[in-house]
Amino acid sequence: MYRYDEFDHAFVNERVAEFRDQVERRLAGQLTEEEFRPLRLRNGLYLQLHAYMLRIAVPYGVLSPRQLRQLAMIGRKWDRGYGHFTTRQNLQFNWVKLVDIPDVLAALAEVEMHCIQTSGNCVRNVTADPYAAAAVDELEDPRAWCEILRQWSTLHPEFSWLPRKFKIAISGAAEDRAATAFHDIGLRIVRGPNGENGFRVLVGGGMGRTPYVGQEIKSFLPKEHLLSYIESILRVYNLHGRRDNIHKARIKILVNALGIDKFREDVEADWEATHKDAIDLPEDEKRRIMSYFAPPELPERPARDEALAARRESDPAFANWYKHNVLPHRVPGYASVVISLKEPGRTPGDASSDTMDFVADLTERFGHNEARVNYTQNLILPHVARADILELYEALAGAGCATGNNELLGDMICCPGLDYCNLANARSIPIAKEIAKRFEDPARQEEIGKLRLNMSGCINACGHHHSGNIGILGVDKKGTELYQITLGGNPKDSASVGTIIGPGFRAEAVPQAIDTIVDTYIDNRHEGESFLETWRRVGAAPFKEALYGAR
Amino acid sequence: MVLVELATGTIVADPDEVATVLEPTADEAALHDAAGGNAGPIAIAFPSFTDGRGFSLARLLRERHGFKGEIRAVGHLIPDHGQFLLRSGFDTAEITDPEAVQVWKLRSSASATIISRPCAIPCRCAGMRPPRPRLRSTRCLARPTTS
Repeated sequence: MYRYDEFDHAFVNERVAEFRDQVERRLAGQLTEEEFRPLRLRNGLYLQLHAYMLRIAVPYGVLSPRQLRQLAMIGRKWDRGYGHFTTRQNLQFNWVKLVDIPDVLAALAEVEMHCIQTSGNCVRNVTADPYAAAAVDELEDPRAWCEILRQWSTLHPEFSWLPRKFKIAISGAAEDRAATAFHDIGLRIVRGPNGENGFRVLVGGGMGRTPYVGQEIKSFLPKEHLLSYIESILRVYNLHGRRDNIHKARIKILVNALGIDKFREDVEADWEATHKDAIDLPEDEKRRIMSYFAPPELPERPARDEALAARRESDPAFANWYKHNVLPHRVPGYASVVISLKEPGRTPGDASSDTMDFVADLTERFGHNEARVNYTQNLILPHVARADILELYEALAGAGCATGNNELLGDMICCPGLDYCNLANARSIPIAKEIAKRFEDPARQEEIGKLRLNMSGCINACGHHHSGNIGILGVDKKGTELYQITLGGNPKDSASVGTIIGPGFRAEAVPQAIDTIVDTYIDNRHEGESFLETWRRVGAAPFKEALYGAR
Repeated sequence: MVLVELATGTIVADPDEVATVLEPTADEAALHDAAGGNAGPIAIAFPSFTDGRGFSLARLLRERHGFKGEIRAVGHLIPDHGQFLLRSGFDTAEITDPEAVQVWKLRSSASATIISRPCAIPCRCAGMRPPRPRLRSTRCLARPTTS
C-alpha cells in the first residue's frame, strides 16, 4: 500500500499545526464562526447534534493493521470506544471534543492518516472498488489513480473553493462496485480501440434532493490525460456552477441545466486550450506511485477445498456465510472475505475499538496486512488463503462478526440519522435495527436473494436511498417521522434512481411495508430474476396494489 | 486598506494603480482585453471569501493570456487564502485590517511543502521547478517576485 515519504509526513504535520493555529485564532476571536467553518470543514470537522464529528479519510478504503489499531486507540481515548464507517469508505468519530481535535490529528499523522478534504467545497476523498487487486473481473487496479488524484487534488490552488463539494469514484473492473454513476465524476477503466486501457468518464451523477445518474462525457480518455481532463471539467464547474443557492450548486445541476452536449463542448474547448504537458503526470512519476500498489506476494497454498466442502455440508451457518461473504480471488487458492458490520441489532457500519483491534489481528494472521472498507459499510480482507478460511471463520464467529449477509437484505446501508446528525429529519438507525430483526432468519434472506436496501434520515441521502433496490427516506411531516419508500434504484451498471412508490409510512409500519414489497417481488419473480429485473419488468402496479390496495 | 505581497507577507509600500478590475463573471474576451492592455495591475474581485472563481481567472490570465504583470486579489479575503492565491498566479492581496498582515505572513510561510500542483504556468517560478511537472514540488515561495 501507499507509504508516506518525508514529503507526505512534513505536509500532514504542517496541516496539523495549521489547524491548531486556526482553532486558536477562532478561540481568540480573530476568525468569525462563518470564516472558521470552511476551515474546520476541510479538516473533516462538523458540528453535529450533540458534539463535533470528525471524519477521517481512508483513501480508497485501504487500512493497515497499524492504522486500525491507532483508530481503535483514538476511539477509546477521545471518543466513546467506537467509530462509524461511511459510504465514502471513511471513518467518523461522533463524540470528539474540539479541544482534543489537534491531538487526534497528530495521532492520525503518526500512522499516515488525516482528515484533509473529507468535507468542505473541495475535491473529497476519492473512492474505489474495495476488491481492487483481488477481483477476478478487474482490468486494472484503480487505487494508483485514486492516489494520483488524491495528491493532485489536495490543497489544489485553483479548485479548493468550489461552488460545492466534489466526489470522484473509480472502478477498474467489469462490475461497478464503486457506484461511479452516482458521483460528480465517475471513472471506469475500460479497454480502448488499440487494446490499451483508458477511462470512460461520467459526469453529473449524484444523490441528495435532486438525484441524477451520471452521463457520459467521454467514452474513452487516454489515461495519460486524466489530470488535464479533470481540471477542465472542474474549471468549467468552478467558473459556471451556481453559487447563489446551496441546493443547486453541485455539478449535476450545471450539467443538466446546460445539457450534457453543451457541457461537453465547454469542457473540450477548455481542454483544447490547455497546456496538457504542464498538468498531466510524467511517466516516471506515474510509475513511482504505481509501484506502491504492486499486489502482495501470495505464496502458493493448498486450497483445502474438501475441508471447506465438508464443513458446508455439516454446518448451515458456515455454508451461508461462505456462500455470501467469501468471494473469488484472481489468484488460485485465495479468496476475499467480507467482515459484515451488519449483525442484526447493531448499528450498520459501526465498529467498536475492540472490533478494530480484532480486525487488525486478523489482517496480520490471515490477510496479508491489509483491510478494506466497502462503501456499503463493511470491512473486507481482500487476500485470504482458502486454506485459512476455516480458521478465520472460527475467529470471526467467536467475535460475533460472522454474519453471512453480504449483499443480502440485512446488508443495509444506513446513515447515522437523527440520533447523531443535525441535518437529519428522522431516525434511521432504530428503523434499520427493526428491519434487521424482522428479516433476521438467514433462510428468509436466502429465499429473497441479493437485494440492496438503503436508508437515509434526510433528503441529503448519505444513506444512498436513491440507489437502493429498495430505498427508505426519513422525512419530517408536521413533527412526525414519516418514511418514504422508493423502488428500483441501482448503484451498479445500468444505474437508476429509485421511484417513490406512494405515500410514506410511520416508523412502526416500515418493517411490514418492506416485508410486503419483498413478498410481492417473490410472488412476481421469474426463475433466477433479481429484484431489479422483476421491478423493471412488472413495474410499480403490483407493489402499489400490495402496499396500498386495501386502503 | 493595505496591500500584502503574497510571497513574503510584507506590506507593499507604494502600490501601483490598478488598470482593470475583473469581476468573477469575467469571460474570455474580458480576460483577453485585460491581459492585452499591457498596462498596470489587474485586480480580481472576491465578492465572498467562499467564491473561488477568481482562482480560475488568475490562472487563465497567466496560462492562456500570457499576462506577466501584477495580479491583485481584492474583496473578502482571509489569510488562509494566501497560499491558494499565490499558487494560482496572484502576486498581491488587498486587506482591510493592517493588523492581520502578521497572520498573512504566518499562513504564507507555514507551509514548506505543497502536494498539489504549483502555481500557474508559465509564471514567475518557471525555470525554478523541475523541467517536467510532478505532483509534489517545493512551493515557489523563496523565488524572487519581481518580473
